[in-house]
Amino acid sequence: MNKIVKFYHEMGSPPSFYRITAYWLKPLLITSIILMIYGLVDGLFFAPPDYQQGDSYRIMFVHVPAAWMSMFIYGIIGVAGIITFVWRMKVAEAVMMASAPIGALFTALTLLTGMLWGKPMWGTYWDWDARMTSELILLFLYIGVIGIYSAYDDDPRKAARLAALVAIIGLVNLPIIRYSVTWWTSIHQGASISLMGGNTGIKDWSMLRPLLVMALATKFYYMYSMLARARNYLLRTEEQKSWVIKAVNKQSE
Amino acid sequence: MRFWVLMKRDVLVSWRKKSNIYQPLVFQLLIVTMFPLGLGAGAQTLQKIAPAVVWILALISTLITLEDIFKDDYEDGSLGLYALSGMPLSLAVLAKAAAHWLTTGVPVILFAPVIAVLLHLPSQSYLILMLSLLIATPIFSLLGTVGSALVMTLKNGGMLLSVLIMPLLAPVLIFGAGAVLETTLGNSATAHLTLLSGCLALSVTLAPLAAAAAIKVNLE
Amino acid sequence: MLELFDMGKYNFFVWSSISLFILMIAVDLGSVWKQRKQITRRVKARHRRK
Repeated sequence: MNKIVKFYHEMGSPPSFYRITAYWLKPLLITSIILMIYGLVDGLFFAPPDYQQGDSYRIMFVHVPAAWMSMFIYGIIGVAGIITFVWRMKVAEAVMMASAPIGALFTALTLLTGMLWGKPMWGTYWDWDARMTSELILLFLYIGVIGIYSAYDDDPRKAARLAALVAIIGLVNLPIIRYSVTWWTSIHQGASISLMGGNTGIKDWSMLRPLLVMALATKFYYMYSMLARARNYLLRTEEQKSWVIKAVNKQSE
Repeated sequence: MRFWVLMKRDVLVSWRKKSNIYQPLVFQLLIVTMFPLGLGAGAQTLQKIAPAVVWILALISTLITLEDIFKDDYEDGSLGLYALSGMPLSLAVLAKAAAHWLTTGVPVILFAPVIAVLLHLPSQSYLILMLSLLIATPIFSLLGTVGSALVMTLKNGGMLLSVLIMPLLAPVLIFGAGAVLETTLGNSATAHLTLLSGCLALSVTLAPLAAAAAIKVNLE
Repeated sequence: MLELFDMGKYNFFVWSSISLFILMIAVDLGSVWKQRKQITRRVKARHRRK
């Protein structure tokens, strides 16, 4: 029990966090790349074609993991935002602002791959269905968090607290948006084939396996990128402190 | 007590500069003219888009006034005084929101039929149009205080404010414009209006807290 | 061998999506590494000045 508590406290201190996570970076990146290669090869070449959609469904192997990450990362940003705002933990700030660009990138990827999947599936590059519309609004939420942080570039601590507030407001608002958009599309359109059909019953294991591998791969990649960015963030915001100078001089990279 | 004082003062200040009240309305007139110019004057087309356009114009014309809710008070230091006075900051926010609604929201509601006539909105929809705006314009003001509090120390916070507010306004727009649309189709708008009222209840309780938190951060 | 790469009439869409994915990962990776180089350079410069 004590070890866990100690670990938790250590992770909260910027120099300890920096030191501990240094060992995690390479393994995380290598694992994620291996998983990506495996998942893509498996999904593109070994999974059978869908009897309805032919080969176009293979876009799902990047579209669905990207979508899952876009939502998962925003959840993390929300929680990190709460910790930042209430307890003012510097490491939580770092995690929050590190995750934002990655989440935004995944959201953009979801939208773009969704468009590329939509053309063969629906015949149009864009359709205002519940999920794509919510995803677009999610992109605005990300832009809001990143935007307000970069607007206050003279005072990073204040910028982070305001960004945390924006993240929390977004998190509270997310279910409302989801509900209202879903409700709105259910009145205006017949149910269109769900693009994120990853969980509407893929019974074929050879299709499910690459999807799960890619989901895992993107998670590992997110962990790598987020930790790397969070460490850079701490170096930048703690520039004045002596541990930063020692740490920078120590690294062999 | 202080709530009313603050609200009255704000209303008076806005009232003295009448352009604060006219500007959103003139803006609506300008933009609504663009629709027939762009689409052609066909009554059919205009009627089809009327519910959404009236609503969106009300929304956008309110949006441009939101930045100033706290900006002037921040710049002349009175915001700091509100924070120091015994009054809870969220109550002050509520007073500002109420004043903003009285000087911006109410004119928008009253002016909406004019825009609706210009777009050939069917006559059965007017009542619900006013009603939906009556419920929604306070939401605009309340969410506006949150956005304004977040960007008030920035020089050009307007664009960022729109980005921040837009996801919050999406449900309001869906329910509000949807209510008017339903009446044009002859259906009942009760569901939409009920959900809209739910949004109002949520905004009244949560927006002042969020705005007060943002003000406190900005005043540090 | 090459028929494995053939996605029928969906070639453009599938391969664009995959390339977008790889591109985005590469962009993210590149920006992380660039960020790090910038920070270390700045910290070293500041320390040298002291």
